[in-house]
Amino acid sequence: MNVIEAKNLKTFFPITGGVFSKVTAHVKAVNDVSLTVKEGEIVSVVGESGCGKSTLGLSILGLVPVTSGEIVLNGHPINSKNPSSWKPFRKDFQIIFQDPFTSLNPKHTIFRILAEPLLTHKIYSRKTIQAGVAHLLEQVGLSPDYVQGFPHAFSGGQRQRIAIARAMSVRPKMIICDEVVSALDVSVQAQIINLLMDLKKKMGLSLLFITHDLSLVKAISDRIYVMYLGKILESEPTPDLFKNPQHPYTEALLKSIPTLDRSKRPQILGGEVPSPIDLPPGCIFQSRCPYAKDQCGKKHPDLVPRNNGLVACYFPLSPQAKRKKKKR
Amino acid sequence: MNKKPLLEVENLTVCFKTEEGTVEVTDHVSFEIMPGEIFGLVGESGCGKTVTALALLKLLPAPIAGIAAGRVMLQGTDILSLPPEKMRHVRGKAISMIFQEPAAALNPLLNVKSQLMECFDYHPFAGDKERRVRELLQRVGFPDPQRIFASFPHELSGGMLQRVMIAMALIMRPELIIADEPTTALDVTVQAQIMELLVEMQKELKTSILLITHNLNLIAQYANRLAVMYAGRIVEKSDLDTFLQNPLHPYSHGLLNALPDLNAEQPQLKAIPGQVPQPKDYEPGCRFRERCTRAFERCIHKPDLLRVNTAQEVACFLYTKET
Repeated sequence: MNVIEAKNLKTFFPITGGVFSKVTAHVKAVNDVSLTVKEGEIVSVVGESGCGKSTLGLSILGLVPVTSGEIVLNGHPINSKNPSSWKPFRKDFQIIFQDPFTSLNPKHTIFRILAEPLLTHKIYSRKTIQAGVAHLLEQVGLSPDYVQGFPHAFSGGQRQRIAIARAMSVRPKMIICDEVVSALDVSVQAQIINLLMDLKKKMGLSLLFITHDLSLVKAISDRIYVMYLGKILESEPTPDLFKNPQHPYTEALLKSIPTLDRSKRPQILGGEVPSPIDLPPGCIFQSRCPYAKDQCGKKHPDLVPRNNGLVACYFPLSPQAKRKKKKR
Repeated sequence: MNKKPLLEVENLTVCFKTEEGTVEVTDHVSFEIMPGEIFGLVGESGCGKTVTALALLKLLPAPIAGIAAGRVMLQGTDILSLPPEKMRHVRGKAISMIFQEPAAALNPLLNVKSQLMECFDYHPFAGDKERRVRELLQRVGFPDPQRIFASFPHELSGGMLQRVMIAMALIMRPELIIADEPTTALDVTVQAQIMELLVEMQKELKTSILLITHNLNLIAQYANRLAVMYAGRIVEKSDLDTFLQNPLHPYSHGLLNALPDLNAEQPQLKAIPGQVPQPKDYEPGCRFRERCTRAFERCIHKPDLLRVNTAQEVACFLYTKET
């Protein structure tokens, strides 16, 4: 069963200007995105900053106003025009944010932060709440002695554990993890990811990882969506994506990451991500694509099935094909 | 090594005054940078790598922070003992710096031209100043320098700003560029562009670079030698090829294992247990002891950084014979 099913999702942010604050243009943060997450699956959305990956996560949960599109959670269609239609699903769909320094209320003790969802959803009663919070802290590897502390007393890694405990407290089916480790040190990153993987196994969760870190994604996810300027350019099972990327952007992303292998120098993708306000006609990647041809300037290609995945490119890469790079 | 080092840092100790007393944030840090090399300084946040960089240029925020001990020898002169007006001739001329956040390092109220030309107010320069800056801008990838001159920082993207910073650092052809997390605020594709540019310019002008970052992958790709810092101390110093094949310190092992390997078929994440200590909790003994799987009784003492082979120095009792 699909836990999340989003079809042709669009989230546009209006830009206003002039004396009467007229809407002059839109930032197309999420532009016609379809995405599914099956039960028990770990799916990742990767892309560079500003590609709309965080907005996509927020849109699915109705945390930003959605412009159009269909969202189906646990098989139930959501009326995206009515914010309260998400309410029955709040318990089952949790989110963990990037920065554990801003996502925990600095005026609340850890006890209050963790007790609130437990009491709201009547998982523990007032009498048993102490034990409930202690149990949660143990699950994420923190000592229950910490309950009376305030967030400022904890390190980044510990705070992220508290954020995970809060998300886990209501026993959700699905957690959206928005760059959960990018604010943490490498040695602590692995701890947090391993904790999430353990909890996932124990609780049978589904996870949607939103991140820019491809090497992390390779280690954990089943399936990957590659996003660029508000659109999905490619979607593949993880091994296929890393072995045979089909979209030139995916290939460029993979090649630009530095690794410990000194014989493989990162390769350069020229240019920078264009502004999502006025998109040029044609394929949104053509301005940076080393393989772009005339046809690419007409219309953005549709996302079509190819091999084991989906790719939006008129000239998708085949594994052996050695293409001549166009002089830029 | 027959060449003389360009920069020698000896026993640099930086103290911060806090409400709980004075804390040593770096403890006898020593390293040397050869002419024309890229020296990597790697460590996690709070380990003292940026503080070390600021101390080299005497840019530490006084009176909270101060250099308690140590020398920084630049081609034979101790720059820490220079009076402020002499130090000004070192900064930007002999040693220049590229900061982590280009958007925060540039003045938002001044256009790019006035910020680039500012260094001529402090350093003598014979020749056409504007032409020199224009050429550099073209060299770092702006085909139309005149347009960049008139721009204000908010009109440029992060990658463009970092290229302006690189041009600015190169104006006086410094002997050494300190690059403190030069690509951390940038996207991967832009990161590759900036690093490639930096290395190209370094080769062309034969300067040295002190590359400070938390990203071991970046060091592995671009540096010749590296020092690994943990909790204010250098725990390992090594030639890069030797380090990647045979890291010595348990922390170096841990760091390398914690990185998901993109080349592996099925990458595994091996975490280092525990967390980085805070400077106020720094111990006199080995500071990695609490997190180390191979710690033993001797580790309550401070291990010295000792040479174990021609390429490597390590501060760990596992590599020193019982005395």
